[in-house]
Amino acid sequence: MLREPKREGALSPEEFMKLLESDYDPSTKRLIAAAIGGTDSDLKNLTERLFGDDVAARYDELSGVARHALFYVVAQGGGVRGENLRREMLLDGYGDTTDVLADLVNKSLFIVLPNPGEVLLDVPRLIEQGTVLQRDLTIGAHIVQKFKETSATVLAEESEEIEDVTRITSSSTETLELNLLHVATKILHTPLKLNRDGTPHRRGLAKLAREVVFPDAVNEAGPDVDVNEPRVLDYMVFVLAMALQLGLLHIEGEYLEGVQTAIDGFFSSGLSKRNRTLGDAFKGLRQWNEADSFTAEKIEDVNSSLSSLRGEGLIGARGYVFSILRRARFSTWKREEAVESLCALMDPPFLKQSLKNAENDPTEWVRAFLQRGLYWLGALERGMEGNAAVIRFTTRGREMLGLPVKDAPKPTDKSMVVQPNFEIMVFLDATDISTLHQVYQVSERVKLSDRVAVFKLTPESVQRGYSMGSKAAAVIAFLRDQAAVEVPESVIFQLHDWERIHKRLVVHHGGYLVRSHDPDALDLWLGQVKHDSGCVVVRLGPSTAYLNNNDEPILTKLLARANGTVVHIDSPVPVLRFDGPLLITVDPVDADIITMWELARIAHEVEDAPARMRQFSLDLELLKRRWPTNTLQNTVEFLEPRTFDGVPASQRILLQSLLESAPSAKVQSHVTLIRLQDEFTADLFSRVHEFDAYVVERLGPLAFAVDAVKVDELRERMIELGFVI
Amino acid sequence: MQKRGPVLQQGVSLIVCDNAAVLQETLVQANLADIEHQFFSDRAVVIPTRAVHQIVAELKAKGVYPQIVGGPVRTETGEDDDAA
Repeated sequence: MLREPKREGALSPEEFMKLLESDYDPSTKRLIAAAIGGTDSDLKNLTERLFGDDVAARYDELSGVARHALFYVVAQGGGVRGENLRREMLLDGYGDTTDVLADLVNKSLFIVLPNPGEVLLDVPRLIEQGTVLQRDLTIGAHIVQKFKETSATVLAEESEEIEDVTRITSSSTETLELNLLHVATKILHTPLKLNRDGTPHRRGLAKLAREVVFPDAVNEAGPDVDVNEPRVLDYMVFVLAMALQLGLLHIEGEYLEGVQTAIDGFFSSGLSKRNRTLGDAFKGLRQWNEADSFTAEKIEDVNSSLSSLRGEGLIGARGYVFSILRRARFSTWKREEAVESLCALMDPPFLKQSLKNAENDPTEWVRAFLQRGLYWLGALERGMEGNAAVIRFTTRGREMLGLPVKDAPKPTDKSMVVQPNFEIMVFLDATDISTLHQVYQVSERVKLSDRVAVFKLTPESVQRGYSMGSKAAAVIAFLRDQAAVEVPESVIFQLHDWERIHKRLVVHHGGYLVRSHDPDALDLWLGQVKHDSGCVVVRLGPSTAYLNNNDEPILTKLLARANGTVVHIDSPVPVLRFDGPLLITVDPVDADIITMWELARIAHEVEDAPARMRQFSLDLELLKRRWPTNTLQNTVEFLEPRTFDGVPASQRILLQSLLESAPSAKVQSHVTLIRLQDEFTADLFSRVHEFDAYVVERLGPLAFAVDAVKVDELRERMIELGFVI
Repeated sequence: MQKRGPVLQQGVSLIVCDNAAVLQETLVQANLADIEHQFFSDRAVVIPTRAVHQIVAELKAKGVYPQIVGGPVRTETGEDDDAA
């Protein structure tokens, strides 16, 4: 039934007369005259005809869809917005009635009313443009009176609530939220590796899938779930894409990582806010396309890349269908086919245009959108009435559409039992997602079946929870508040003890070591860093501190301003200097931790080093112990990039002689050097056999060492050959 | 002589403990001997970030669950599915 008539009451003869006199364009009056007889110049006669018996008899002759359309208008008291009428008839399974309704207007059986303030309404042009249904339509009051009873009887029979619905299935929003919470928390603790093409690492995904509750299921999937099954893989991608869209996860390089602040924010917010957020996230889903995989039969047909934005082209179409469904406002069961028609036919050109970029067929997409997208979102329930599939919106689904719903009361029952073996049994029907989120913060879910989730408090899970901000006292207070029976004392003791142990050892992961020669300047600089970037600073000494790495650009800017430098420990820079045989001097403030660690392993520290410097004497035995094979090569590879201007040649020779074999040399006396003008001449010289008696050794391309005693003799022989000496 | 500013070393992480003996014991458990490291006091040691995963895994295997501050420690490794 229509619920929001734009105009109440039918048309009176006086109102029609006024329309003819002041509101209608001449072409409209000609249209009416042609339809009901009379002339467009005699307005009084036209009015009498419209309200006369002849025209009334034409309503009797209506049949089929046109007759039903009349009944709808009668049921609304004689006035209705054209689009609302069309939408309602679509929803009740009459298909697209645009042409039928336009024909009723054309025959002047439905009268078009102008918009407020509109004059000279040109109805024939509206019909031609196809926009006539964007106006209020009305009929005469006498027609309403005439068909009132018949209309009520027929519509009552037709609009009977669908009641005998069987095989109702639901992929509830609560289940989706539970999956989102579980998957996001797992990935927060252990990032999920992505392949190069953006698809999740299959082994990691399979682990997650085992603990997911799939649509239409009550229990978690368990070890038999197969992520190579298209529907399973597609649902996992849907959940990950929703988590990405909600900001619970983000892609960092080759990993999918959890975002703790977003997880905390979403799962601790109220039901209405979550509903709206879920609806918006679904509409904006970028990494998932409901149509691509809906008909997939083979795993190859499912695109599971989380870096491919294949859902982006559907955002406009999703928003469009949301607005249609919001305006339909239906809360009871409807034929699935009729809802599909409603979505596909309300504005086909717009839908086709919206789907142009996604290259999806509108009809197929609407089916996938309803049966897969909205169903997996938990916005729809599905069932069967006889052989016909029917659907209805869930309460949460209605709120996702933007329709007002009553607030669901927050569960007040005690929802869990804490056992001495550190297991927490949570009854899902008695709890809400915010409470579950708090349980997840300090425990691991080990099982979920029959609407009971079993969590385990383990040293790791509890201490991890502490590292993320939980406190033992708060955890204990929460468990006491939620538990149906007394929390065992042993559990309380252990929660305190784990907190004590946990506080002792802290790993600051992924930061910077900062060192300076000037402690005062370092103090000032660290103060600036804390102020501008919010970095956590751990002071390790007057000239040393550790910074966590939360804002690299600001840190880099502040460092440049202070004339500082950045080095990466795996890209060594020169910090060493040789100040004697195998004696190395280093400024410890400049040296990275790898250099200092290696020096301590291969050298003995010398005590009387220059001020602020440290000196090390390389030890051959330590070098051989550090690098048992290729000792010289490894030593040089370590020292070369770290030494200013590289390892000095003298030190290189010394190392070679001490670690491998001593280089040999010979001293020759009584020789004279002869240097030829070019290599060609030198080659010819070397091939003169009579010179062999004089030459001791060729020294290079141009030079020869010759016997000093015989050099005068050789000079004469060369002059004889024409050499100028 | 030109005044030099601070030197920042990238790619490092820090382990701190409120008790020197506990830290020494912990580091023995974590097999730190073969991993590059530098002590800055008897309660603070700096290690390469690339070694954090290994150290944390060793500690967890021995029942020690340190508080981790900063980015997540990635423990999932391996080749691409299609690279095998």
